Amino acid sequence: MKKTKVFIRILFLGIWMLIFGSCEKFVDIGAPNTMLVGSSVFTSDQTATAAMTGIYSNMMGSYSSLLNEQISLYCGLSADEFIDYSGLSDQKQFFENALTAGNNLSYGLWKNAYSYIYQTNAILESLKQSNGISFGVQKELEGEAKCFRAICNFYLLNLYGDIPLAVSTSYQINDTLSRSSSGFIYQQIIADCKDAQNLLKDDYSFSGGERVRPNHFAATALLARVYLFMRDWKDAEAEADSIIGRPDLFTLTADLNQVFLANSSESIWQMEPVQPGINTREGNIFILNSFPNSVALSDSVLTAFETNDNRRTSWIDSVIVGGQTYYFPFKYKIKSGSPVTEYCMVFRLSELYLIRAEARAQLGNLSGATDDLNQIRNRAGLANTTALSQNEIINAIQQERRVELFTEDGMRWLDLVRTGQATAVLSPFKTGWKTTDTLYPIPLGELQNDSHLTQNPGY
Amino acid sequence: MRLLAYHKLLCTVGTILILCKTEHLFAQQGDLVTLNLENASLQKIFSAIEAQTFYRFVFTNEQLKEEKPVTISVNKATVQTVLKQCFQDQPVYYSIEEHFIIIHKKEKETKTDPSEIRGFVKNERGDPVIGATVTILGSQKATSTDMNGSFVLEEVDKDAIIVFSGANVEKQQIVWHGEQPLYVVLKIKINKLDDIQIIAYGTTTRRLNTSSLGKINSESIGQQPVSNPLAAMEALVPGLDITQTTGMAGGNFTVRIRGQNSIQNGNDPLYIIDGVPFLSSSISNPALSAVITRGGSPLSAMNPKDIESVEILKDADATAIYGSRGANGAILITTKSGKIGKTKVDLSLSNGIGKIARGMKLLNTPQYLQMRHEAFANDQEVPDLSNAKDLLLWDTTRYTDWEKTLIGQTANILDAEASVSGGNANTQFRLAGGYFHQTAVFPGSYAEQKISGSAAIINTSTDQKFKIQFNTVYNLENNNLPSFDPTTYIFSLPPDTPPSYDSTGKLNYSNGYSQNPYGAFTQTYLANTDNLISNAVLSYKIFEGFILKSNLGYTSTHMDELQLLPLSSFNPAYGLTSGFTQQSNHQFNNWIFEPQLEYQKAMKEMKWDILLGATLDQSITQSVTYSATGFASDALLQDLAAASSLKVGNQTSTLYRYNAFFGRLNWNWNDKYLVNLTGRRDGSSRFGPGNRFANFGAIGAAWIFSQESFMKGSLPLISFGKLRGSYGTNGNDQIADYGYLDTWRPNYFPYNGSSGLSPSRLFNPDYQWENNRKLDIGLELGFAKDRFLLSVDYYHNLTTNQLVGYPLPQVTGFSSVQFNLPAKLLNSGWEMELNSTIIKNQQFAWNLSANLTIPQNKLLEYPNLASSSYANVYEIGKSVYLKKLFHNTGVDPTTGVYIFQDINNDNQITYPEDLTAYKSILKSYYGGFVNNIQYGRWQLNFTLQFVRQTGYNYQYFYQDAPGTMTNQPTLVLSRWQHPEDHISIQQFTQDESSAAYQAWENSIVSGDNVISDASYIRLKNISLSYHFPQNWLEKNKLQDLRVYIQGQNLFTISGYQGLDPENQSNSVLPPLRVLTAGIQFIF
Repeated sequence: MKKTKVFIRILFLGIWMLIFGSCEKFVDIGAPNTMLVGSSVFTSDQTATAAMTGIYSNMMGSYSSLLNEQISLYCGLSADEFIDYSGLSDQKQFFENALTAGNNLSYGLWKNAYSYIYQTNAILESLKQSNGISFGVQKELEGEAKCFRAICNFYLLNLYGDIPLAVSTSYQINDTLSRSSSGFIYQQIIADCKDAQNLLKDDYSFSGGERVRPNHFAATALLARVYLFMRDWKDAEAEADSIIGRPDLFTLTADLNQVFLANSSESIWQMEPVQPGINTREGNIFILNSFPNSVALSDSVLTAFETNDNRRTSWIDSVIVGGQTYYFPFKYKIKSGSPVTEYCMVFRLSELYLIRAEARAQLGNLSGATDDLNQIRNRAGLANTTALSQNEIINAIQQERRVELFTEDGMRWLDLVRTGQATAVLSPFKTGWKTTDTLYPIPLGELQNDSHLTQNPGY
Repeated sequence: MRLLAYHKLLCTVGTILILCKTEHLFAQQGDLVTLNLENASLQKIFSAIEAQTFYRFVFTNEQLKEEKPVTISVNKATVQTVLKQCFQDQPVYYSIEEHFIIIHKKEKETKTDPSEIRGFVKNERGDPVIGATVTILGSQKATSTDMNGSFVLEEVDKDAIIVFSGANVEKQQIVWHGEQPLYVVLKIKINKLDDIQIIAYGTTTRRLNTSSLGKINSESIGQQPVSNPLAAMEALVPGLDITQTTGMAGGNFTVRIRGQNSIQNGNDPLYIIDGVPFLSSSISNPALSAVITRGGSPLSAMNPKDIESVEILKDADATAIYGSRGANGAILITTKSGKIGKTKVDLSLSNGIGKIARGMKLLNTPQYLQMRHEAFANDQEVPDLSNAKDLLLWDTTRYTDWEKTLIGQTANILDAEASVSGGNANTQFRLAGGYFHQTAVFPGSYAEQKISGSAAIINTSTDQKFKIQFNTVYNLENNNLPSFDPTTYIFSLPPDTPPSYDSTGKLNYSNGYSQNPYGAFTQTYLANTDNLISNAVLSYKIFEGFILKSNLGYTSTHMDELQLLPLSSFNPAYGLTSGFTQQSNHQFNNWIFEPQLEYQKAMKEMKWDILLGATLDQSITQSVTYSATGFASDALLQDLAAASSLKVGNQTSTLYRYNAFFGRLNWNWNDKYLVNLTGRRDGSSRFGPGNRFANFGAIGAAWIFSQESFMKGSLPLISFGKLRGSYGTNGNDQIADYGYLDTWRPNYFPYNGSSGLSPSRLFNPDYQWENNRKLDIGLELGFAKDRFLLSVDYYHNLTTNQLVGYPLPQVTGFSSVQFNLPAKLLNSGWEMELNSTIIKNQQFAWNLSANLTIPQNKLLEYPNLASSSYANVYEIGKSVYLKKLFHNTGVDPTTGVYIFQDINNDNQITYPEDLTAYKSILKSYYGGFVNNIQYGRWQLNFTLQFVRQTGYNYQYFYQDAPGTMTNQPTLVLSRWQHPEDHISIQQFTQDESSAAYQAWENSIVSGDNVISDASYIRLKNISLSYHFPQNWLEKNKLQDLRVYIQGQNLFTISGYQGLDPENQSNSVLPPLRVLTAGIQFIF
């Protein structure tokens, strides 16, 4: 009886405590121990840097994500670079320029770009409110975030046309965005690039000498490309100048087989592969050892080269399966295996020569243009260009861009679209080609979830 | 005595309510006595007590004449304790009136009276039978049992026949030979109305409950050859909608009680096993399990044979006491426990086979080749190596029936069970073990194995005051499956695929045959789960009708997943240099503590039942995944140390805490008017500060009008009639933990030598409870002495403040955010259940029960729907299962291409302007016919399930149009071929840019032709058994011997255009058709 009473008292005391004691406390569980709360991320140099590193890690850790193979593959198919052997309906839609709004691969690309934009916005917003981060790191991260946001917006704009421009993390704002005009978006891209130029160092000290994070010159290269696309020849030339004028950092490699090596002298910004067992995804997917299971190079790429062009032999290889020869890009030489010796290229010097050449040609500086063009031609073992008139030179530069930058981050497709040649070049052998195919459709999921968005014509 | 007790009780209740000091609860000031006396007279003791307390004794000296001296030594004991000791063996007894203790002389010596019976009446479950009538046959003497089931009858002759009867028990006669005390165990009455129904924190009967409940008993679950108890619950209870999403062992089920209350997620019911909350979704790593077991089902580790009953709580009255967790109804699973009686050993063994329940006829090679050539001809193209390796490189004379090859094997099912149970009036026990083994319908040796053990002990103290009930279930599940669902391949592989192995015995990947399924078959997915569910209920009766109870539960689920992808399984074209291993470990731990205080009071005409309680509940879910590659050999894949690259990814640890406070008041007047009030205050850690607490409550009432005197006799056909209704609120906290926090997660791979962080989600610190208001009105009728029982329910559930993962455009960086949606969603419907004993005599009995559910779903309000993410998805006044689609008006007879209605006349089909067709993916009604037929020693049970619904047909699940390099159902053969063909299927095409292909894309993405009838009637289960004759059993010293055959999904009638109308998919294994035979011994 006595024991029971004690038991009962304890129980009642327990109930009493439950009721008035610690209800609030009991269900206040604090933060999870495997994650960091946003406010604590931006309190130290290390964790704040990790937030930016997260973007690169996400991109390179994915199977196919934006600058990591995704754009090279899809745009290569949309243009005249690849033949599709995948048998995957969504991939075939790129090849046949028959994209539908429901295409999941296209949506994946869009998703990746906007998730990186979100993360850059989150970093930029948090940096403004942070304490405890050193000034140097704060500048570096703000610069990297702006540079990365700019490159995402650049690709989105050129692939999808006018896009919704997200510059904050607020979903209440972002989920009702309408499409902004391309001029407005370019303004934002230029502002971001310029900020990044000012904020970022003009060496590779922040990344320990590795060219794997954007620095001042990466922002400059992007800006040069942006001005080129905007037909702002003067600024394009000036930006390209400032990179070409730094031979202490950037020189064209004599050996074509060394261009894509890690931290090659030609590279301005590369991404470091992080997935185990392979080097770059491009090398892994494009290099063939049997019947192609994704893509192979098209005949039009093969015939685009002049005879004796060393790039035809150094950067293209083939495999023979069942008596049939399949060609593939061989810029990256490693299909799989470790160690990692090749990095995924984002910007390299030869593009800047070609940008300056084009800008100079457009501005009437024909000798300057041919000088730049010949730099690239000579490195490939070709004689100086024979083009004389402005038009001829401009065409020769386009041809050079095609064979120099093939299968690199969609340059061929973007060039065809920006120069207005897409229909003329592609319609002869792309059955069902429509002039509206130059822009990808706004993904259906986006239209469903944001009624302010409109579809591109033709979809 | 009575007054004092009552006084104390009031004080106690008062104390709880006003919360004064706890010491006051049981010892009133001046109630405690300290005595130390030897051989003292009673008078001396009385004086001593009077000196220490305010009690005064009333007695005469005459009364104490024959007193016996008392030796007593107590320290601060209650007066009652002292008096009890002192009055033992005295010729007097006492009673307490306020503060007077009145002494009475005993009329005669009761203790030695041989003609007095003191006894206890219990039912088979060991529960006391309250209010049972005890009469002596042939005399006027009668009494009834009290709250403990005890009774006293005086002046009974030896060998008298005593008759026990009660509302819920079968009448029984016993000859009394003079046993003291007399223990009587009564059988529970088979009248379905008096069937015990488990409810939240208690029990009720079908007769007396005020809420809408469904019950499935152990027989219904046990007699089905299934591994997951959910598979046995389909079509049995109205309002309970269960869909098997895959036929894969260990696969997932979708369970909905009274429809989908939340527009998006969080629609799973609350599972409570023996009082302990259980997982409603699997803790597996979705990246591994999603394609194989569709995420898996946590209940699949449970042994269906361990289940005593499953109750489905549907309305607010039944679920409001679960507060924030009860919005989607609750499923209470009670495991088996021992029964009073001789120790019983039960052994059963069954073995059987399984095959897919329904398949689809696909093109053979000649038909396929014809389709391909016709597609190229239609597109005016010549096949080349990029689009026609099947025509140009492969041997077109080959034919493989991939459906038969990949999912057409026969699964073998073995089930062995053993249990021992028994007990006496005070202690009952049950120990059981089971083994289940099921192989797969794929080529290769895949199997699910389960070992389960359970133990249950109930002990009641001799004075019936203290009761302890302990149940524990331990399950081990070992699921060995391929790393993918082979069903995908039966549609994607052309029938003329090259041989799977080349001449050297290696996997064949030549000539662009990249999808060789046998490569994937050498990859494995292993899921090992162990599961401990244990629960103890301790209860102590403080006073008459006053029970203090505590529910202590602990659940632990541990799951290890292992995916092995050997290098040899991959197409060499990928150029891989090593295989891969993914290992995932998950741990879920939950403890719950629920102290409760219950007060039951039965007065002359009314009964009160008051419950007060609190809940403290904590769950910790932890998970970690390791990915390894860089193995020197495939043989080392299971050794993570042998990997040159080992990554730890997806490490999560979440804590969930839940705290509540609840009360219930049940009032019963003469078993005629019943009122049930419940309330709960809840706190959940899933909400941000300031939003964690909320109040929920419900009222339920019932009027058993058949008890009214005006009913009796006026409608003789109606034997039972009850009208009940309930209204109340529930909440829903089925959202992710920490969703209100802005969290950043470490990245998987380090970059530039350091690790990264990325935001894990969009966060919203302000979301609150979802609010669910439920109304239920029910009519229950019994006809012809309750041979026919009909119950009809109308329910009306309104959900507001919906907690959804609100879909966002990816422009926001994520696909959704946790959000309270301002929408008001109505789920209403009719539920009907008829139980009838059609025939019942000694030889032949036929019980038929039928149930029908007619659900309705309507979006009532949605402010600013047009500018929300759901603008093109939902429509006010329509069901949320609605799909807005392009209307396919058929095939243009001249071009052979689908035509869609172009409402805005812009000569193209545009989204969203041309979404003119509204179709719904929903069940318009469903139910089942459950038959139990007994003929002599033969027993036949079967359930017919019927579902009337629309669903996605095979076309929806295709990525590629008919004409591309994928196999198609033979249905496509009736396609358009020539101008003026008036046909519903368009021409074959293989070029994505052709007009026909674009039309086909429109149709699979948003065409209304992909939704069609998916109704079906299915023989869900059947069981035929034979019990051996009694005299044969006795000769062989057996209690029972039974042989049986059991089947599931034996036939399906459906016009569905696709694999199976239940799980509706082209890539998921259909549910299996199972037939087993078995034998059961009981001795």
